[in-house]
Amino acid sequence: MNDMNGCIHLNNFKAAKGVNPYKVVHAFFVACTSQEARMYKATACLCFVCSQPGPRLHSCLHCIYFGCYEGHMQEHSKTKKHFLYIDLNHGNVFCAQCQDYIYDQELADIATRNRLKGAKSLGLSAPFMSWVPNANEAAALRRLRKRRMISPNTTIGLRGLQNLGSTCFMNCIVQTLIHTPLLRDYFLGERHKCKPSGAGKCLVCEVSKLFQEFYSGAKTPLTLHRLLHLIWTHARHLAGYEQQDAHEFFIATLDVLHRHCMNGLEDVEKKENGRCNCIIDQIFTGGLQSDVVCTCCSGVSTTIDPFWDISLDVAGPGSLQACLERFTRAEHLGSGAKIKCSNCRAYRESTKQLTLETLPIVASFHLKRFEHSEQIDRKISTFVSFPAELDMTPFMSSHRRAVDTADNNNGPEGVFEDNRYSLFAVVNHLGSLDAGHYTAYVRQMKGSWFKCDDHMITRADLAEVLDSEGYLLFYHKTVLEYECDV
Amino acid sequence: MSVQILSGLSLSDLNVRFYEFMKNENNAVDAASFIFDSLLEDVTTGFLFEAHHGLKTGLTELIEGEKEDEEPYNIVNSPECDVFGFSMLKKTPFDSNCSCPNCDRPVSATRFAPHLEKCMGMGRNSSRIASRRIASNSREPTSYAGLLSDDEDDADWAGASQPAERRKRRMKNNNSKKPKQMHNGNNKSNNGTNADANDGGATYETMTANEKKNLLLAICGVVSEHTKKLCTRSTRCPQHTEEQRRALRNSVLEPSTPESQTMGLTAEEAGSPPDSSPSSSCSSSSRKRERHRAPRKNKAKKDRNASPNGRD
Amino acid sequence: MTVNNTIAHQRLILTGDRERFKELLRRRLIECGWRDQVRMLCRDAVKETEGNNVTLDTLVTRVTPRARALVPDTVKKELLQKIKTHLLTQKEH
Repeated sequence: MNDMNGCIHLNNFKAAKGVNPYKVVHAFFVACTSQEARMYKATACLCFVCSQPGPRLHSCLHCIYFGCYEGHMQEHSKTKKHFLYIDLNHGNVFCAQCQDYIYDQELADIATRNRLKGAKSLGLSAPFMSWVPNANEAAALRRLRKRRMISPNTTIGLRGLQNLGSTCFMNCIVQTLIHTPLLRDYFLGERHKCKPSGAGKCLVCEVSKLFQEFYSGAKTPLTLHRLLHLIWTHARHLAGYEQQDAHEFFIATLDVLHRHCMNGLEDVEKKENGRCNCIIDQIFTGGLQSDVVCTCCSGVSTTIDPFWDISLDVAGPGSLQACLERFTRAEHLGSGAKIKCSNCRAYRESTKQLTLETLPIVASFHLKRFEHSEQIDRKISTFVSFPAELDMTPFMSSHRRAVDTADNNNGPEGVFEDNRYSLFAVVNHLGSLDAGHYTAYVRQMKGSWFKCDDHMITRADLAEVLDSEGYLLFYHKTVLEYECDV
Repeated sequence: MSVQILSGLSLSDLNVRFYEFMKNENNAVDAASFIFDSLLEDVTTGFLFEAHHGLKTGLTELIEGEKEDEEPYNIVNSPECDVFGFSMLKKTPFDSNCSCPNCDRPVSATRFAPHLEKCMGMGRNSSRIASRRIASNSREPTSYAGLLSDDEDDADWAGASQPAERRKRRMKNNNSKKPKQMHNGNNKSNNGTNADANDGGATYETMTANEKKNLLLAICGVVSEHTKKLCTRSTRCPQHTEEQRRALRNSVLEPSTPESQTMGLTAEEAGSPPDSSPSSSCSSSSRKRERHRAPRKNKAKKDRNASPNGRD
Repeated sequence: MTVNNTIAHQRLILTGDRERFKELLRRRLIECGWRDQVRMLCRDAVKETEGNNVTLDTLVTRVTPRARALVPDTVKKELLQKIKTHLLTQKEH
């Protein structure tokens, strides 16, 4: 366990005065936990000597005194023999007798709570707190000192997958899932705990084993025979190995994993509208909003449905953004498709518009390149360009609302809405409808891409990835936000 | 709590002077610069505090440990090899054997999928297996049951282009939606396994215990000495004795093996109805394996229809 | 002039916008890799320091000047522009 025991001087102070002085100073002047606190801070926090707000303003812990670090705080400290003072920007305690900042667990906990409250009162997401190992984890870290890293020059995190007889569709989806950062962290962090009776039959456990294999450093290609069997057992509609679509397999796999998560031991609760908080839902589930506007009375009927991916029509050469724009365009539903308006109480013509209400952490796009009809089965190979970084803001419900109401938000809050996504996997279908093959490009880490062709893994550069045809495109949210759970 | 404010402005003073000040754009430029410097100083010191904290508490040392030697895992940089150093010139250099989770036989990896398809009684070519399921509920091998699980909310997970469409409908359009794939050999001869499949893939050997159980509910099943075939007459067929039938059932079915228990469990957990669909855990005993290794040439001669008139 | 700058600074504290801008700056500096560079500088500073006692002020003295020079212009411009616009568009109630 790391050393957060403060120093003898701080401990003496705590013994005499408790933690309240720290708590109060922190709540009002460091991490303003309320509007009232901000008022105090704005008007009072200036150096008592030079009236400046900085640099590095400190508050005395023994009395009410604000001094900047240019000498004024030090002066007060020496004169009054008040040895402890707090940095008002970060909440850390300086001990003039130790001549350095010292760290105390009890105070750190108070600080964390206050910072969360402060972020919440400002409508910010929780300040990121990096992982601190608990006692058991610290003991393990001490005992096992070697650290394995993902690096652009090693094969750690890469494995080939054998083709088991037209199973390239499965191999590509597996490569995609293995390289989904949040999913990787979940499994390598051993978050899945299974019921003992589930051993050998749990698909989630099987996936967990796969992650272990990929990061083991072993080089021989893997055979996914057990996985295939488990998936076919639980998704029987995928039967028939000759006809497999990677997209259908992706959705079926998510579905089976999602159902299995419910059966595991984790703390998974079912929420309304069919969502649960299992890892699959947390990563892949977004909300699609459908607004139907009656042309007569302008009444709007809104529904929100969960989705795992977005299937886009391919109409002429263009870009992914153009496809998304078409997807979120308002469409006039003609006289042949009248909808009953509850306001007018009659069948009316209407416009319908789809927008993204909630974005999933991983946004998956499916370009509908395969057309099946009575007359013809064909593959649409039209080029659709897709970017390495994608901003989803224009396709969001909130953005459309703002545009409509001409609400241009210049404040820093508007500045915060970060809907950027980074490409991390591409699945391509090569060849024609009858004789085809799937390959995948995956991003092992920033700037480091690899092509996965069943058991053959080779380096690829971003240009090659962006030049490929693109059938399934996978984007990961660039900046993760955490909720303030206070 | 009341804080005695010894210096500084009152709130209204602050606001008034602020708006006054901001009427001049140049003031805003200066102020922005001042504020930026203050922010940068703040953020920089913040990162330094993180480093200092990690150092003083020992956390950095604890987490960083010792870096593993990367040399054994270095990517091979050669145009003829993949990242692991395996040659790209050979088409399919790897073909290991794996153990089929369904029937426990060793199967060549590159032919595992077609084997599994037959073994599990799925796919278009397994309709003959379906006809062998003489249990009262004979289902399509490509059943939808596994999909329409107990969890009715599943139906909401449609592709977003048709949000209201239920998966049932998508499954019915199964064949029309999937692109037809041949595997990566890119030549039809590699579909050699298809020949097997077309040949009436289902054999008694490849059946699971469940399937056998159901089969033996309807036919006599005693193996004829000379043809080595199962008697497909009714369970009261006069040609064979009750004792023979009982002996056969005891040896084949082993009702008290763990697998017969786990099979029930699997079917439940899988959400598919506990019917004759093959289970995933068919861990056969060694005896069964022997039966499975019956010579293949008999397959062609195996009766495909459970015709009640089959004579030995 | 400085008094007026202080007033602007305090005003942002009052509205909570200073915290928001600070968070924005922090994110940009992480995204562009600047934080990683600062970490390396800290590592170097620790190595260069004799004895076991690296105080925070040691790091401040050794690292801050170098770090400041490494801030990308794009980040600086973006923040300056946003802060300025924000100051000018504050509405009186």
